[in-house]
Amino acid sequence: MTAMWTAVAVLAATYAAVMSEKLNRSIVALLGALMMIVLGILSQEEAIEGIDFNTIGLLVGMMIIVSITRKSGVFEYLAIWSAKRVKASPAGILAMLAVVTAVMSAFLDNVTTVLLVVPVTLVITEQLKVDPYPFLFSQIVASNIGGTATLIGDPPNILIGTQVGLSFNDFVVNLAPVIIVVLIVHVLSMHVLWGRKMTAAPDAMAKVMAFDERRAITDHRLLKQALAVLAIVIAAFVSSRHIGLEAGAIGMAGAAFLMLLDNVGRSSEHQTENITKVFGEVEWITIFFFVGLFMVIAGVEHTGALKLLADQLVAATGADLQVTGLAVMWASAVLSAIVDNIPFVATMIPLIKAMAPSFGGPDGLMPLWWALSLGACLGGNGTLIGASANLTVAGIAERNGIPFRFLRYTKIAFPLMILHVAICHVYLLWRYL
Amino acid sequence: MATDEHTCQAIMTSHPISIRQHETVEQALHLLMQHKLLALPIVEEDGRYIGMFLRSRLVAMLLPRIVQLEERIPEVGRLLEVGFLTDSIADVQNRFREVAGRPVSEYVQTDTPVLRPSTPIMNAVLFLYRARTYLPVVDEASGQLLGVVSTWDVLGRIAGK
Repeated sequence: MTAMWTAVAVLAATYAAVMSEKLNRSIVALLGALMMIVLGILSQEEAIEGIDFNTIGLLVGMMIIVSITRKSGVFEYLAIWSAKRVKASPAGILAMLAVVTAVMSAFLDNVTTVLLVVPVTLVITEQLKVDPYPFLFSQIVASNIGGTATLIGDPPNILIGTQVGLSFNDFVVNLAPVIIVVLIVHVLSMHVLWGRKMTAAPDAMAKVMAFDERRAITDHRLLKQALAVLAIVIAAFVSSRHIGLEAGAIGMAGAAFLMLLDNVGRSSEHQTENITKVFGEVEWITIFFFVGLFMVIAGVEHTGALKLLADQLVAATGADLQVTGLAVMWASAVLSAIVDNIPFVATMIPLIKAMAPSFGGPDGLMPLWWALSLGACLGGNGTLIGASANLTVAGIAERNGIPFRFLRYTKIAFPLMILHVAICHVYLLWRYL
Repeated sequence: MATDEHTCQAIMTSHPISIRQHETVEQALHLLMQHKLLALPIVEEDGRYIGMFLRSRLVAMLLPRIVQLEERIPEVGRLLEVGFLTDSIADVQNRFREVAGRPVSEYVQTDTPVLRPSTPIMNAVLFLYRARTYLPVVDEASGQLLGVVSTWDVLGRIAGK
């Protein structure tokens, strides 16, 4: 019992320290993990077994694939191409870039997606002389929406998918339909709020129409290689059950193969320089945050604390799947708007797994996984601190002289988030509960 | 103890060309072009050093704003190239005109190493190599700009001039 309370105290302290943002979150998670070992809750071997290398492999693999692919200029091409498809009208671009962001975000990490789309957006809005704020706001929300649709789109889904053993297709089949609806609602909301009032001078629009997207492609050879590898990786995700490979292995295999193509035939010095750069672009803060967090959660799980909490939660909801599912989604949404959704989801996964006996085994838990994913991913839109992509865009905007404050963002984003989760509420009731 | 021969005092150019903080970007452009300088120290009205206005900053002003800020955003978020923009020289001139009337104080760069008259010459040479511009020599107590050390000052000594 003492061990249980000690483990819970370490988890609570880790949460509190991550939320306070006084220390880098990777340091906090690693110190939390160390405490679990030093206090005797986990042996070193148990702590290492707690790390989900499937998740780590997928994250690192996808980060490497994106870091190489972006050098081809394909993402700039896509953004410019889409802006020109709507004749460079500000309202059209607002809608198009939201869709492009959401689609890219379904396959790439959200922060990376906004980092790729926002610079081109700022070039376009500068040319059009329109306020960039609505575009950036819309892209933040779209990135978190799009990321919800697939296993690889958002860290909470990566965690749920790899730890529960759900496939890429499971996510697409169960989440993509409602995400498409949410995205349409988002695009319409943006149009009503801002798009319909936007105007730009005809000569400014002509300037954007004169953008030559083909010139954004800086390396045609790399473009072909990267697109081929991306296509193979996505095909492998789709058929992962048949080929017997898990997401981590697929991500890392794609990364290794793309690095091979990008380096074959180059001198060893050039290869070293190239690879050092690519590895340098892996977000090690996120990776070590995950590593530490996995060990902290393993400690709490090991002591039986999560099982106890799960039993109490099931008792509180009367072992009713509908009540539990909706409670999981709404609680995840509201909490994810305030706290980092990664530790929250990492804690919820073993907790929900422990509910299996009450709901007829692991298969009975399926609606709960979708409720957790929808709540945690979409909840991140609620406030400026709800997801990393939000803070990343706000940081770039502020440096560019565009005020991007907490309240200004939240007073529109929070009601929108509630609307999106309400749509998911109806969807869960209709399809599963 | 370092003597004058080993310090910046021995090689610096006194009374350098500088610009006051309220003066405009356009005035900076003319001074930089007229004297073929790499940078201008920006000073307050009473001659206290504030920072540098770099020639490279003028070049950055000809590009979209986001490019000017790229050092402060992660590598992934930087535009690879801007060849997709089909701007003509007239467009570039227009972009410059939009900022030409702004005071140079808005573009002050404070990361250039600052030398003291007593800074060893070898450190000045190292900073020149790393910063690839020229460096201000500032009095520690008063903050007054005393001079600058340029690559030419060092190379001139080597050449015996």
